[in-house]
Amino acid sequence: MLMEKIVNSIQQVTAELGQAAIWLSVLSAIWGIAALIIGLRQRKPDYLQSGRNAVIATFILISVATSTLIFAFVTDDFSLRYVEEVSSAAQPLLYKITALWGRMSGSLLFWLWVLTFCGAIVVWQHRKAKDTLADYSLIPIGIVELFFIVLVTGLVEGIYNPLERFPNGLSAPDGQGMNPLLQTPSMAFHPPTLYVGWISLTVPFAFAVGSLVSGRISSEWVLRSRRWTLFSWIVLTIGITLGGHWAYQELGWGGYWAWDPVENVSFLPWLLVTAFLHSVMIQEKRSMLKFWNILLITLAFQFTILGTYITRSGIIDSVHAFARSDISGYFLGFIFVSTAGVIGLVVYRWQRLKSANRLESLLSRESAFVLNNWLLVGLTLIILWGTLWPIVSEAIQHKKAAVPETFFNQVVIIPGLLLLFLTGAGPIISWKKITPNNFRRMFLSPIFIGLIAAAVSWLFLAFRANAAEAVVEVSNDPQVGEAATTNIFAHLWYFLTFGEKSIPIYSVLCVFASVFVLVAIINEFYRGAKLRAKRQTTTFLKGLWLLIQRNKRRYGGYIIHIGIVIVYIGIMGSKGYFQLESKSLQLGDAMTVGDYRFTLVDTYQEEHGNYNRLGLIFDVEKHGKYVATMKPARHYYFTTGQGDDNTIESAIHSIGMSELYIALGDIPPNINDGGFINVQIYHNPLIKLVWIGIAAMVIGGLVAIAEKHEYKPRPSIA
Amino acid sequence: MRYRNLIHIENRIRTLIGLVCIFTLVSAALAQEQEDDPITSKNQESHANLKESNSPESQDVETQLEQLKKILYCPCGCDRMTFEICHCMTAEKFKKEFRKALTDGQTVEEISTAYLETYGPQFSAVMKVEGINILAFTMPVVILLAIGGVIFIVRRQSREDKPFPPQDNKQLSDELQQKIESELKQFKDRN
Repeated sequence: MLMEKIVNSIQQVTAELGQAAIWLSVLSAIWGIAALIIGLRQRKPDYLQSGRNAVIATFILISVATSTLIFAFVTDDFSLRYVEEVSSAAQPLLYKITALWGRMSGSLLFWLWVLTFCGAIVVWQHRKAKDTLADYSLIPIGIVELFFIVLVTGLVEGIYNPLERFPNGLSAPDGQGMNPLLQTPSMAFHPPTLYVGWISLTVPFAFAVGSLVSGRISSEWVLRSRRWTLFSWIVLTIGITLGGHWAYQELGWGGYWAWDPVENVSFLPWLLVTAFLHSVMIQEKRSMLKFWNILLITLAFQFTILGTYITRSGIIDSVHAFARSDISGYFLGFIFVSTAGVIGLVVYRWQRLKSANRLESLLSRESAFVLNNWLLVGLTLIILWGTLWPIVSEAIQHKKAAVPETFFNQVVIIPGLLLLFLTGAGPIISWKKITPNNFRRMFLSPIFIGLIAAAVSWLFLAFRANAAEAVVEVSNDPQVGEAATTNIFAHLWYFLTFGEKSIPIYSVLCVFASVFVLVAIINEFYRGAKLRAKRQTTTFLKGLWLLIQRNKRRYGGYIIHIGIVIVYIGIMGSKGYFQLESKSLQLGDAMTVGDYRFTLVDTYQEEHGNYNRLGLIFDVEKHGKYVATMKPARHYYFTTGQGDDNTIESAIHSIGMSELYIALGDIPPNINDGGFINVQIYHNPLIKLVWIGIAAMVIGGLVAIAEKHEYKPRPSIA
Repeated sequence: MRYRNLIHIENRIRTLIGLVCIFTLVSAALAQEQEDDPITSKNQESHANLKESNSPESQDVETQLEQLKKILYCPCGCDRMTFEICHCMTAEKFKKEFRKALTDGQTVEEISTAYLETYGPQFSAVMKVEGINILAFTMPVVILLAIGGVIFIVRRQSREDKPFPPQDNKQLSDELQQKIESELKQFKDRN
C-alpha cells in the first residue's frame, strides 16, 4: 500500500519531468550546434568545449525523458495517452518496456535517445585526442538530433509528445494493449536493433559532411568512421534477420522474406553500406572514389530517414507498418534539405574530390570493387523502384497496383548472382591489373571445381525433377521408344534437358558461383595459413589463427563472404524448392507433405497472463517411422490495441538443414466435436543455412571490426 | 606508344561495357522466359496455368481453386497474403465462394477478373508484363545501364582531369631507385 502511494506520487511528476527534459534538450541541441560553429570559425577553444558538453547534456536530458516514459510503462501510468494506447496492466514486463517503440511517438523518442547516445560516444571517443574533424562532425549530428527533438515535442501536427497526459487529469483504468503480433521475443529486439543500425549510420555521414565542410577530404574521415560503419552493418544484419525470423514464426506463411515494403526499406541502407564498405578500400589504397564514397554514405543515411518515413507513415501498405501517421512533409522536407546541403558542399569541394589515380585495367581488383558497387547500388535502386511502384502506378493510372514477390525475385536474381560471383573474384584478383600468372594461380581451380559442382547439381536436379521416370515413359512410347533405342543420346539428352520441364538454370548458376567463391576463399585461407605456419615454424591451425590476427579486416571480410555463400544456398533451397500443402482437417485426419505424414491426434489449451493458447498436436512420421510431435497454436489475447486479437504460433521442427512448419487457421469452438480446421504445412529445405550463413556474416563482421586503424589527428585548437 | 595504349584500353572498356549491357538485356529477357525456374516460378506457375484453365473440363474444381488461391491477395488487411497462405476467416469465406463459383461453371479467369474489378488491381498477386507494367519491368534494366553509364562517364572525365599524372620511372633518382630495389629484394626474400 505504501509502495503504491510512493509510486503514485512519483507518477504525478515523472511525465512533467520528462517533458521538461525534452524542452531543455531543444535549447541544449541549439546551443551545441551554435557553440561548435562559433568555436570552429573563430578558433575559440572554450566554445568548442561548451559545444561538446552540450552534446553530452542533450544525451542526458533525452535519457531522462526516455526513462520517465519507461517508468510510466512499468508502473502502468494510464494517465499518459501513449502508455494507454500501447500497454495494458496484464502485459508482461518485457512487452511493457518494448512498448516504448510500439507506435510513432515512442519510437521517435527511442530513435532520438540512440542518436544522442551516438553523439555522446563520438565526444567520448575524442576526449583525449581532440581535433577539429570530430568537432565538425558533431554539427550534423546535432542538426539531426534537433530535427528529432522537434518531432517529439508535440509541436508538429500528426505526432504527439509521448509524455503527454490526458486532459483534465483523466486517467484510463487500463490500457488498450500492444498489438499482439508485436508481443514476441523476435519483435522485442527487431525494431531496436534495426533502429540502432540505422541511427549509427548518422556518425559516418556526419564525418563525411565534416570532411566536406573542413576541406579535409583525405581518407581520414573514412578511417574515423570505419568502425561505426561496420557496427551499423553488423547491427543492421542482425536487425533484418530478426525481422525475417519474426515473420517466419508469427505470420504463418512459412517464409522469412517476401519483399514487403518495410522489409525492403530496411534492406536498402544495408545494400548501400555494403557498397560503401567495399569502395572505401579503394579510397584508402588508391585515393580514388572520394566523391562516390560521400555519395554512398549520404544515400545510406537518407535511406534510413526514408525507411523511418515509410515504416511510420503507412504510405505503402505493409504487414510491418504498425504505426501510421501523416508525417510526410517533415521527413521529405528533412531529406530534401539535407541532401541539398550535401550537394552544395560537394560542388564547393569538387576539385578536392577528384581521384589521384585511375583504373588501369577493367580486370583488376579496383574494377571488381567498382562492378560490385555498380550492382549493389543498382539493386538498391531497383528494389526502391519496386517498392515505390504502387505510388508510381497510382499517380499514372489512378489505381494502386501491388508488386508481388515474384517481380522482385525476377529483377534481382541476375544482379544477385553476379554479385555472388564477385564475392569470390574480388578478393583474389590482383590490384591494378590481372596477370596471366595471377589468373592461373588464383582462378583456375575455383572455376574448375565450380564447374564440376554445377554439373553434379545439374544431374541431381534432373533426377529430382523425375526426368528419369520421364525417360522411361518416353521409351515406353512405341514411336519415341523405337527411335530412342537406336540412339542412347536421345535418352541422355531428354534426361539432361529435364524432359518437358524447364532447366533450373539459376539454381545451377548459384551452385557454380557458390562453389567458386568457397574454393577461392578457402584457398586464400589455406595459402596464408600455410605460409604463416612455415614462417613461425608452428602448426597449420596456429598459422591460421595468426593469419586472422594479423589482418582481421581482410579475413573477417572473407568470413562474411563465406556466410553470404551459405545464405545464398539457403535461399536457393528454401525459396526454390519448398513444398506446401493446405487442407481442412478434423481430429484423427492426416495429410502428407513430401515424404512426411502429419496426423492430427489431439488438441490442447493453456492459460497465460494476457492470452489463452489453443493448439493442436500432430504426430509426424516418415515412411511409417515416428519423427516428431509438433504443436502449432493460436494465441487469443484479452486486450489487443491495434490489430487482431489472435496470433498464429507456428510449430517448427528441424530435420538437418531443413524444417517442417505447421501454421493453423482460426480454431473453431467445435474442434473436439468433429469441427474442421484449416492447416498449412511446409517443408522448407536448407532453410537453416539462411540463419547459419547470417551468423557467419555477423561473426566475420565482429572479426573485421576488431582491427584498429591508426590515424594521426590534427592538433585541436582546444 | 602511350596514345596507342590509351586507345586500346578505351576500346576494351567500350567492348566490355557493351558486352555487359547486352548480357544484362539478354538476362532480363531470360528472366521473363525462365518463369518455370523454381526460384522465381511459384506464382508464375499458377499464372501460366491461368490460361490453360479456360477450359473447365480439363481440370477439376480443386485444382482450379488452388490456382485462384495463388494469384489473388486476400482483402482481409493482412497485406500481400495470397489466399493460399492467408489463414483468416475472410480468406476461408472467399475460398468457399470461389469453390461454389467454379462448381457453377465459372472459369478461373472470370472469377479473378470479377474479384479484381470489385476490390482493385492491388489484390492481384500476378504482375503481367503488359500495359503500364512494362515500365516496371524495363526500369531495372534502365537503372543498371544508367549507373554503368554514369560510372563510364565519370571514369572518362577523371582520366581527362587527372590531377596527378603518373611519373615516368626514368625521373626517379638513382638513390630512390636503389632503395626500392633493395626493399623489393627484401620483400621477395621474406616470402
